[in-house]
Amino acid sequence: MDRPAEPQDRDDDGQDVAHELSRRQRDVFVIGWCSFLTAAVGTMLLFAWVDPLDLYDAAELPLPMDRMTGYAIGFFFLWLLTAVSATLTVYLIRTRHGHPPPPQD
Amino acid sequence: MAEAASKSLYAAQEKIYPREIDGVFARLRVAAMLLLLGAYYGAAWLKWDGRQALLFDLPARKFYVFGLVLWPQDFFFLSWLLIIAALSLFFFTALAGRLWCGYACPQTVWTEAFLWMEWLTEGKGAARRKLDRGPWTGTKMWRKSLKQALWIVFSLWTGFTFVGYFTPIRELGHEVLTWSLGGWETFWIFFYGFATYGNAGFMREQVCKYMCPYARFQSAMFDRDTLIISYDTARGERGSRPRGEDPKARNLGHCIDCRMCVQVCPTGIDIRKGLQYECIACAACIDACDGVMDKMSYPRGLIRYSTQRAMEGQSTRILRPRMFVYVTLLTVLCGGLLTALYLRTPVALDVIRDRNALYRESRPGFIENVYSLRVINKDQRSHIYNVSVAGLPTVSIETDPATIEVGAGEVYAVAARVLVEDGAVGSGGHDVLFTLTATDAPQLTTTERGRFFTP
Repeated sequence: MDRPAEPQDRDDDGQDVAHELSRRQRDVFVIGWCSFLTAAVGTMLLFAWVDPLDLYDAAELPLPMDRMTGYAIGFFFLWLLTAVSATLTVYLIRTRHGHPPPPQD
Repeated sequence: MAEAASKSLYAAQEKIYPREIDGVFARLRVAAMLLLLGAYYGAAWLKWDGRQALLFDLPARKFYVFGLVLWPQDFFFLSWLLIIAALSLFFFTALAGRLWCGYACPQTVWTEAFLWMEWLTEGKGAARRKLDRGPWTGTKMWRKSLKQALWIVFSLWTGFTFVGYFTPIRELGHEVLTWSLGGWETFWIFFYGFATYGNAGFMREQVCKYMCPYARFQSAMFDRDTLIISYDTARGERGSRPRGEDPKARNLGHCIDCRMCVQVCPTGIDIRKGLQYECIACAACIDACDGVMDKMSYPRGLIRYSTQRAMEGQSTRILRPRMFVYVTLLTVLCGGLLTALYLRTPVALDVIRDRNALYRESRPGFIENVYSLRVINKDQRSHIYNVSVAGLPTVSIETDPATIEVGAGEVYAVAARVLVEDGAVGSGGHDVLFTLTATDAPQLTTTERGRFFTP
């Protein structure tokens, strides 16, 4: 508990909660985890309807690709997309009017 | 205890050493754990008709579920199943809170298994704490290494089983024994093994506190008639007292402040402060408290499953309208799913219009539209199919090749020309119905709609 707790981090009894990680580090974990969950669901939905080999044929890529690689590319692409969305959400919440920017630590 | 604050992943907190407990709920939890772990590790090895009974073959895009072979076109069934699962979660949460968390969640089940291995090697509760704080003696090294070895073997076995649901597990086992695993298989075995090790060995209740969305919103599904684990504050002030003395004489209630309920809690909370979001409803505190009440010859149930209304002395109804609505919906959905699976025809047809031309006047007096038909034979043997068209006057169809023979579990593309006499229908787009029927089994039939264009 070398770092003072940030004002909004209170437990149920109104006590300040100390954290091992900085707020920015915690934001990174939350963004990564939530975007991972939604990307996993998205991958399932996408590839239930679309065969990655059909996409491959349409894209005319120079390298050969099997279905498993197609699933992996699809998943990481969706993860990138959902992570961008989550990052923007957190960024807008953290920088909203009347609130100071997150501490630089 | 401050020196025991461990490097945890999120908030700084004390390392929790849950004390072991025996009782009705503890036995129920162990039974659920053995059943679920047994199902997970065992089901992958079941056989059905000479193949693996449960196999999700992603490279071939086919799911084998006992006698059924599901195709991507059957995604509908999976979404239906997910709706049933979600509704069941609502039902059980409204009935008795976090039953899922306490008994069925993989996070709880694997954590229990890992805790058990920890007890086996490092001893229970207080002995473990003593070992953790003590110097690094030979015994400590030996016990800690044994625990790690057990955890790692168990995790890798978990990863292996997981991959075994996507690659035939017997072949996978053979590949492991001959050191000839493929790249993806090796990656996923280690990845899933590592996830098991991290989640059940180290993160434990922190997954519930920080990562689980259900844990955050489950309380929104509670109402005042939901059974939750409650401390009965009406039974009086807490405090220690000499054995055999009437607590009323000291103005005390039934709680002797032994803190057993706190010591057994895997999330380290004090249930006497009321229900808290960390509580995963494992009911270990109920078992602990009932044991103490028995020793003190007080009535059981100082901590028990009860509703908010009952705690406030009002009448409560577990079987309330909400429960009947959930049960009715669940029955209808499950019945519907079973019926749909039973009536499912193992053949499918995709009608794709030729994108190059809307229509052709290839023969004098006829308008022609060209389609590509995809015939999907989901049956376990091959069939010869007929295609017919209907829905427009004078409509007829020609396919190339004329006989459509499709092997078991195969997809076959056929070019089709649909002809209508010039002037038989007005100009514009019209619906036309394609019907596919197996010649040897008339019940194997399906109808798809397509669009027919005229000038």
